[in-house]
Amino acid sequence: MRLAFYGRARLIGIATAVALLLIGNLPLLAPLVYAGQVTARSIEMSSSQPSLTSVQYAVSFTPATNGGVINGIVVDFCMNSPLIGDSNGCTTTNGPSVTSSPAISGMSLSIGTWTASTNGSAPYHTLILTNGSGNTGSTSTPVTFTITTMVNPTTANTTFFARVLTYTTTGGASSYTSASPGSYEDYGGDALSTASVISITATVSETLTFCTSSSAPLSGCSGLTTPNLTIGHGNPPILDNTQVDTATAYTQISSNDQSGTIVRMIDSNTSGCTNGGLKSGSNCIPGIGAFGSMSAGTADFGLNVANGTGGIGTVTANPNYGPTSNKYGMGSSVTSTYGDPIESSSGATANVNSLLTFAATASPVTPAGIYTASMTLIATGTF
Amino acid sequence: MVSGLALIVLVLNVTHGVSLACNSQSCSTNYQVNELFFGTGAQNDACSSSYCANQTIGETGVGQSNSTNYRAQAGFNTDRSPSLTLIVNGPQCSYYNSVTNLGYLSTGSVTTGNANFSVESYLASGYVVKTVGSPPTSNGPSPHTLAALTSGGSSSPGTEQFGMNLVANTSPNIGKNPQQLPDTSFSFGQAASGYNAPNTFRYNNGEEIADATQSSGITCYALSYIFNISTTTPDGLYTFNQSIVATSTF
Repeated sequence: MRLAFYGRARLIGIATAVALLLIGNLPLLAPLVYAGQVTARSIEMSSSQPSLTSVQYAVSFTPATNGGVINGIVVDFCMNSPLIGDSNGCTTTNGPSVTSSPAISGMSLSIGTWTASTNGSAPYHTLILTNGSGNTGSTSTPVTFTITTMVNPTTANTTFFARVLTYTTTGGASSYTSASPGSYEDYGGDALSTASVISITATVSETLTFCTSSSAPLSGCSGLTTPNLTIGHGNPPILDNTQVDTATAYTQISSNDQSGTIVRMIDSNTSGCTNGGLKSGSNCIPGIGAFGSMSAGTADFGLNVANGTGGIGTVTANPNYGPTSNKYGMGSSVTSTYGDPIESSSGATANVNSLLTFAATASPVTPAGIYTASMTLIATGTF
Repeated sequence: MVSGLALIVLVLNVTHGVSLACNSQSCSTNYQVNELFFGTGAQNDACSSSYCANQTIGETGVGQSNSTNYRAQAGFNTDRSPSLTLIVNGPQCSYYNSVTNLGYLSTGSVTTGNANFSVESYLASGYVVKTVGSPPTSNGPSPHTLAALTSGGSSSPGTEQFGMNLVANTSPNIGKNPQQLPDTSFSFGQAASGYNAPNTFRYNNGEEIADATQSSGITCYALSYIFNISTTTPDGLYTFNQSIVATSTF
């Protein structure tokens, strides 16, 4: 009897102690939390090139918990699965890295300051964002931010995953591990992929197209006529001391030389006549020399070059030969090895035509004869 | 005495209660199920020592069903993992290219190149594909970038141009329309506006070139490039490095 009474009393004492324990622990009782899956979630990479560094990943997701506090966000990159707390773990071999010092920009949750960090060891596959300022999520407003320090996975054409979680406490996010995600609020998985870089090469060669014609050349030096010029007046055309006679021709230059083209002229009369000039046997109508006016009755031979027209680019007459009209030049260099510059461009040109006007006059004592010269024009491009 | 012990057990459970994170597809206050099938005719992870298989028998309904606002995956075996597969110049697309050097460009005729990529995305509301990379640029101390057809245009030999599209063309005769594998009932990718008109070529760095508005099987895309130069295009070796970026929304 005595023993039974003792047993009941002891039982009452235990129950009382337990009840006190229950009351004392009431604040520890937490309501069960039901996390939600974030919607409209995506992660856009600034490049899919394998192993590329400083890649930007633009993260976007719409919270599932309207008005829920977001004091922490975790983005965990895994090669094997987007599933939170996957029992197969988080594979990181050849995977992406947030680097040991991750950073973000453009966070849409704008209250306070977000701190970016990671955990574990290389490769650092987990981004942890914390901010205890009490930002809240909305089911109608995406959360967006960009991770600016990503290193892409090392293999091309490879799918990998991201596990996105939100936390109501900074400690919850800070204590995250792939195996133990802890007590999170909202969650979601993303899939991403690297890709091989498409690399195409092509070559543009140096080009120079130059031509002369008695009529204005058409595009691409088409429509040419052979520049066999006859200087004189009357029928047959003759030179005399009464006037200065002229005959015209054209040049056209097209070149992709970025430093320009120079055109030089060589007179075939390299001896027996001053400044090249026109020769008939041993008789000579000399080159006029410095650029200037030509007077009827003073035997001279000269050239005027006009600035280029049409096409693309600029061709400029050399000051010894133009561009002022009705003045002519023919210097001693026309008989040198490489000739005398008559015009030039400073950059690339396409289909630019220049008018050349050859002029000559005879003196009263110029011997009769057929006076000729072969003028060779040479274009040189600087690439 | 028995009732007193039961009281102790109950209290211990409550004080050690944990937050139940319900991340499963089927979930109630105290229970959750993960891709479990109640019944016969299916088995996940049927494994030998070397291989595993998911197997079903007698499914009466399988595949994706859509309405305006909802989508469902039916069947004994459904995968809850979102996925995105992007492969560049892979053999799974019948039109693939391995030429990386186009040789000398000419003012007299267009030079063309091609490449391919494929995209597949599961449990997505769609995907977007973008091109990343500057137009072809020459080497040397003063690099020159070929003029891109930023507003789109046709090929014009003798005029400096660079552009591309993702459809079949006749002028020049290159390219192929997107291919749906195995057919159009499973795959839904398409070339994006600006890159979907025959004989019209375009290029803007970072621009969308293809997309799908729902989960899609494999779509093969053929990239067709045109290179035209003018007489003033600077000489040099021009290189175009392009990164294809696919982004799915889940």
